[in-house]
Amino acid sequence: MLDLAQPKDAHIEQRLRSELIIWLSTVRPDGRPHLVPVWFLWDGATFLIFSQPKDLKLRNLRHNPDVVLALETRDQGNEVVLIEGKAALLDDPTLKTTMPTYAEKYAELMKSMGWTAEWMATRYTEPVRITPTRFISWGHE
Amino acid sequence: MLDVKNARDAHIDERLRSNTMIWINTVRPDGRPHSAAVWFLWDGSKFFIFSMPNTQKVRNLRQNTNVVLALDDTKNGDDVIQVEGKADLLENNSGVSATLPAFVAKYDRMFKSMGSTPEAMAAEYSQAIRITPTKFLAPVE
Repeated sequence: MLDLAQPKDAHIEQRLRSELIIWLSTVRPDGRPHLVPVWFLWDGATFLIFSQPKDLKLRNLRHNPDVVLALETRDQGNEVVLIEGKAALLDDPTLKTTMPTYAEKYAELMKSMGWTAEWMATRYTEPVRITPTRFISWGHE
Repeated sequence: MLDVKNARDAHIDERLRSNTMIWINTVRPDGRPHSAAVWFLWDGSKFFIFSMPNTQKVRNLRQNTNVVLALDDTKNGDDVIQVEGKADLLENNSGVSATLPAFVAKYDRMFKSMGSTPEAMAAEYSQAIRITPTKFLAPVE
């Protein structure tokens, strides 16, 4: 979906790998929108996030797997990246916040919050995989 | 809803007045979520957003008036401010447009840097959306 030979797509890919927060939009069973900023891991093809078992986003996704992800624009609005996708709740015990790629990405932020990947793994036990169906971006010169 | 004598609410009010980008999340008629990053005005009780007349968000709001707004800048997740609300699509003769003095003052610098004017925006972004908050979500970590 992203063509890394294109400078614009390569820049988006770089942002997806380095940015720490992404907005996750879901829809509640009653039809109202829901939004939450989440930590995420982009592997070049899919997004992995970890949820607590009782989070509203998980309840929403059981009902409706359609999501929108959005990178922060840093209050500038001149580099918007939106991704439409489908979420799958995974039952894979090998996917944990202690995965090196995840633990390394968030090492600094976890430390600043007084968290460890091991502690997080006891709470954020539910891996969710989001497969993009469409990238929408503008403002990347 | 916000009590600006309360320090936390005053902080939320200040960020709603000064930040320039907000996400408006709506639900499409087919039930999928939709997100857009937009300019906005918070007057202390309502939000005003200006849209081109037939955008996806306007089509969504004709069918489902529930929205979630979220300030784009989360301070790396430390200062997340979201607002749940109900949207009204205002009539063309409502007198509410991008030429509102408070809106012009807020975006003056951005209009100039884009080589645009409030009058040009008012002509193109002619659909005013008024959002009445029902709930403020701003967890303190």
